[in-house]
Amino acid sequence: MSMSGDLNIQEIMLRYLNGESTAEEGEVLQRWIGESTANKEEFELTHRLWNDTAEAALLSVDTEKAWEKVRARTIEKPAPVRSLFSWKKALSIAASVLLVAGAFYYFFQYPAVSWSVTLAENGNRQLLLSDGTRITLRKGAQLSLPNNYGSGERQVKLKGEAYFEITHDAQIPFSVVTDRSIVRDIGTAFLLQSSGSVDKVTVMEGEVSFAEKSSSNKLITLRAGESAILENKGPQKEKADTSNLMSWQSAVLIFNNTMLSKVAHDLSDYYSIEVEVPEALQTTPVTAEFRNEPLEQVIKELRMLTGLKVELTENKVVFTK
Amino acid sequence: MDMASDIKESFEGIFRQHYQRLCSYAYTFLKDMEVSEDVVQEVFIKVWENQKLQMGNDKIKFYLFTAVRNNCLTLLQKNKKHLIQELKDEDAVDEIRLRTNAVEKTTDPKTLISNALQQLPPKCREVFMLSRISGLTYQQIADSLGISVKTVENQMGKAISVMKVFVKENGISLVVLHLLLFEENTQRIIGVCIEKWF
Repeated sequence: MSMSGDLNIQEIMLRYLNGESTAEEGEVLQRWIGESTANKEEFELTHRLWNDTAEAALLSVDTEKAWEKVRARTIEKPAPVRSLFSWKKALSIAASVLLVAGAFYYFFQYPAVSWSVTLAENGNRQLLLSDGTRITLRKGAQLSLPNNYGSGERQVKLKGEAYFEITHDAQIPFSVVTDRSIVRDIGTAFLLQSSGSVDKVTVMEGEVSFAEKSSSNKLITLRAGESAILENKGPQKEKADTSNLMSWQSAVLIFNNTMLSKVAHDLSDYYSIEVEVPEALQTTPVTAEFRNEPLEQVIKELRMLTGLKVELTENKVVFTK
Repeated sequence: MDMASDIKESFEGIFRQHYQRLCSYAYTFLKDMEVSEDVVQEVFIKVWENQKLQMGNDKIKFYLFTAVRNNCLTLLQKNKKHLIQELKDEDAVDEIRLRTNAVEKTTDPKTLISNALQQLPPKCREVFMLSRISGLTYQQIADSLGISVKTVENQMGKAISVMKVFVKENGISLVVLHLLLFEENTQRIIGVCIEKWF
């Protein structure tokens, strides 16, 4: 291929990787990749450099510490005092305020626990707590943390899905409460998926106890590699399948001779899209690795790998023979 | 009251979402982590004080990266660093020149990548780093740097070409690079599971 042709295809590649290519350019690129192994390797190298340069450029910072600093100078900062200010008036108001405040203080000596709420609105968020505990919230999840966290029992509330890596302290147990269940750690890392109607816990490390809120004495204990689900008849153990369970955090999907039905399940979970596989194709083995690739790209690769037809409509991926 | 706490939450969200990337971006100019963090924190404080939060999500990201760059350049100008002239001179001839002999061979993928990045001429590196760190569109990058979209595309292409040549000349085949990166990621991310079960 001519020099200008190569330059051109590279431009298309980069636009494609940045999600800015036209449909026509996408087709040109696919055709070019299919032309030879050398082209395919060229594309893969570009793709890899593209992905990994971003990661390599990221430096480690202590976001938590920085946030404390910025918070003190922004949202914690008292509003500026207005200049129209009369001392006499202020004193008389202050006197009456003191009276009221005194009464309040008398009746409410123990302030109620206040919660700070973190919502992973735009993407996953990782929180590091004062005790070294790390919580990774999946996009859409919401975590409430009591402002007195760490004094007394460590209890947090969760809606949605999160991965917990707990710094164990036998003196101060850690627990997560959802709308329906309580999970207590016994020194551990675990994934908790709470959808409102179903709660699911998968333990990666250590041990947890899992109980329905309404009957918290009927708890079950889960060890590393075990998983349990709470739907409508108390917590039940089930077979744990941890492959790609954390793909939302790692942005990596790995399939190793995986049945197509499972591939469909994982893609559906990762891309939040319905995936349809007919009965006859469910056991088709797939081996592939996707690193945070756009769905369109994943579909193209699956087409090549499986030889099946894969169609993407607006809100559905359909596999057919 | 509800509105106020909404704004506070979204401010915190935006901070957490972009802080590391902005610091990494600032570092490409300042080469000093502490100073970089200071600059980024000041930008966030300005965002709060000037109530820039009403902007849409995409706009605020664009604003943050642009503001961080401007503040870095101002700081450099104050310190009379050499770099600023090279960056501002858009038409500077940044030839593709490799300095391979200065680089030691490495099998560490992170070192390899950052060595490859070091091969890029300054202007080219700036465009490329902004793109890869921020994930902004070409149009936004062009606006942020005050250059044309065409220039952004050219510089991106140049960056990838230089890095490809570097990776190839350093005798590291794609397969090796792939495996190394894969291995590192696996260990870091899903290592916990794998270690325990296999």
